[in-house]
Amino acid sequence: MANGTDRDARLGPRRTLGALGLLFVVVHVGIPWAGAVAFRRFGDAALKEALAARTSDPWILDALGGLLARDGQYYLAIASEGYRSPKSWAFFPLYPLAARALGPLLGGAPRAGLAIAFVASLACCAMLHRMAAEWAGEAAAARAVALFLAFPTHFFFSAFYTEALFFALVALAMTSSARHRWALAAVGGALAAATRSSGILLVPSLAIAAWRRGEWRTIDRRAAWLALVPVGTVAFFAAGYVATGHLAAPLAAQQAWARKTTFPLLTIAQAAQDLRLHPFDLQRDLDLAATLGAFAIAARALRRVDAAQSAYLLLALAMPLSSGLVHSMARYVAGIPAVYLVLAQDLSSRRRLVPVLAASLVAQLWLAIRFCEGVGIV
Amino acid sequence: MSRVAAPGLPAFPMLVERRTTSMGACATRTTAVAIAEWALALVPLAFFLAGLIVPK
Repeated sequence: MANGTDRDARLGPRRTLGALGLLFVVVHVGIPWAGAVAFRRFGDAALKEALAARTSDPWILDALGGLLARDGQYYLAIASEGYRSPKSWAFFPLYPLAARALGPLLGGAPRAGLAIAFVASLACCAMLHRMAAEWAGEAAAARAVALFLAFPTHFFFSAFYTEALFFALVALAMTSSARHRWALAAVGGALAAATRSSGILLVPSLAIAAWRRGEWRTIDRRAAWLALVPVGTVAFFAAGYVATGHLAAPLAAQQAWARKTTFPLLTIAQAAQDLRLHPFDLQRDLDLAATLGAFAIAARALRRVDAAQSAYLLLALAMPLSSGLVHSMARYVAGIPAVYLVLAQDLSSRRRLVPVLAASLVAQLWLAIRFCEGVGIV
Repeated sequence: MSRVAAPGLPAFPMLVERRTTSMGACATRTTAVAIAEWALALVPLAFFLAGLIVPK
């Protein structure tokens, strides 16, 4: 939504594209490079040892290993050995299996996983741009992509995590549904549901899209394709049953991660009680701030983005919060497209946008370095 | 029936873009959106503050 104060609108498309390309290189090459330096010099010894047990790739052991820290270790274990521990069933299979499948072509599963994340991040930028341009114009689309790349926890999109692939698949499903290409939306949704548990949330979100575009009284019959979306989730649960004899192995794994069903708002209150007892915990404090900020954005979203996007935003907040922990919310919020669609419209003035981008990038650099040292947030 | 667009409210069709018969109906939905906005912003904050006040 361009306005008089928006100087971005006056930039030529080439110049805007060049600026976004440069930002992409800074975020997806520069920040991982800084992380690699930190990993070499100060990397956690246990992380280096665990990596050495699974790969002999010098690029991973001497440089990029920090990008496989924390949950990346579980994904690498699944890619290397399959689902061996009960805790590993909390991680959905598409990303580690894709890394395993492409490993022989790309020099091993760790490299393949990082390559998938890089390519998927490019696709995320392209689809987010298209989504925002259709809704709020070209200038807002450029701002949305810039905010996406600069977001403080965006470094997870470079890591051996599902973030990039999942965001790309969610964006594919949403942009396809907007064009009434329901079969493609369903395939994207099913793949998203095989990548992360929250992929299943595309069913109600896309159903709202189908209902709304049918002028409420009729629903596009082709939206029946959406029945395909849960296939990814069902296939993972079935594989869990075959491997463990437990019908709900992925749900049981949540208990192993100390997650239990809780009213989402009560989770916020419980985290605040912890904050009062122990004020300084980077992970919890960031997760709490991201949660409260995301609800404020959800409020703004009601008038600023499509109903399907609003619904997905709310569900993507409620689902992890219903597990009783705010843990990882700062990362989950980074993976919700509507966050950037709203911020891009609210930060239309260059005077407000530039400081926000600069502060976010500095925060991202610091968090990425901590993460690559093996002691950062999850 | 005419399609009445609520002024300044283009985005949440469940509440503001349905076919309406009068500006009265439109105003009702405008109020509903405003209430939903305040609730979404303030209720989580209220739970956060309650957690800070009530001891564990």
